[in-house]
Amino acid sequence: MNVPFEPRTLVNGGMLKQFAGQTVSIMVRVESVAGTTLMGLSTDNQKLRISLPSELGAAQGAWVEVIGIPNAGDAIRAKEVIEFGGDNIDFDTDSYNAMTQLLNNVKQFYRHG
Amino acid sequence: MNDSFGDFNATQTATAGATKESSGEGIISLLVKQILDSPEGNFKMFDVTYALVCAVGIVRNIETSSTKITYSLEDHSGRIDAHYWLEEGDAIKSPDVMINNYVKIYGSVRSQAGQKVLMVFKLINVLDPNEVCTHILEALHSRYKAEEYHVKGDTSAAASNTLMTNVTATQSNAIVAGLDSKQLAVFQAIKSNCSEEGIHRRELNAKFSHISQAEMNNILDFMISEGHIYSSIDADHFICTM
Repeated sequence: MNVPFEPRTLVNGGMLKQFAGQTVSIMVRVESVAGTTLMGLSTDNQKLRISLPSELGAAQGAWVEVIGIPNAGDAIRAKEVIEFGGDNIDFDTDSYNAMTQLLNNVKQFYRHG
Repeated sequence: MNDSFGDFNATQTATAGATKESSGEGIISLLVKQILDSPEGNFKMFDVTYALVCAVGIVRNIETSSTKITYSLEDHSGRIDAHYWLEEGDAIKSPDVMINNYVKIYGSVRSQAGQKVLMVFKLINVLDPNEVCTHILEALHSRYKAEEYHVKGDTSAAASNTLMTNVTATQSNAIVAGLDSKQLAVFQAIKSNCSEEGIHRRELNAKFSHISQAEMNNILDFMISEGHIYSSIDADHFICTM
């Protein structure tokens, strides 16, 4: 373990503003990559501008997980980007949006009895 | 498949001192923090013990020793070590896992030096982000469904470990799923009738005066179509299926 663990919140585009300055994780569809700037689309169709720590080899249309800190409703300073192995993934955006809403609004998720 | 734990359908476990009661059944999907927060022994939530857990996360570190491989598994809620025990000559069979990629792990929860660890039964690479999303939704579902069952108390018998909602019981305290309270009452009346030819429609109407004949007929037709009852000597006598 090189880096200590930092908890993060799973969000979509609409929730970024609410988590400005806090570490989030968001699924993003790659629109274009130029050096260390990634232009992407969130699951709720928000255009995002993501600054990367290093170059990203992801193809256009691929879905990646961006972990980082939003600094506005549409910009993120990424600490890392997680890629998935599969090709031509049909990512279920409705489910992801529902999941982020649920995770952030349910009561006492970590209660176990 | 890591076979070093043998037949894990049996209720005995590899660790000493595990009682039959606490060994649990079934597999539950969880977030890492839920595992870390859980009390000692097998994972337990709302008074139900599970034999195995399923966790999905990013592999942050891989450490290999002669006896085991230790993966550091991380999701958004926390990080946990997962031990994959090696058998002799297993070095070739160890899972093909890359750092900073998602995996799904099925395993049991153990405490080691005050820290929670996972003993890995199966580790699979996750190539589709939909799997990650589904896992979180499963964890959400399990957590709230478990609470719901717990709150409802022990009125729905058996199967609480597997969180299945469709149960057909055959004991005398039969509770048949898919029947509302009126249907259930009629079913119980038919069931408790001990005669060979079954109970007559007329008798049911008399017993349940608050249910109209038309409604009673609908209830009986429904239960026949579901297979809970059948007509016996004629179309007006009913016996329940056992």
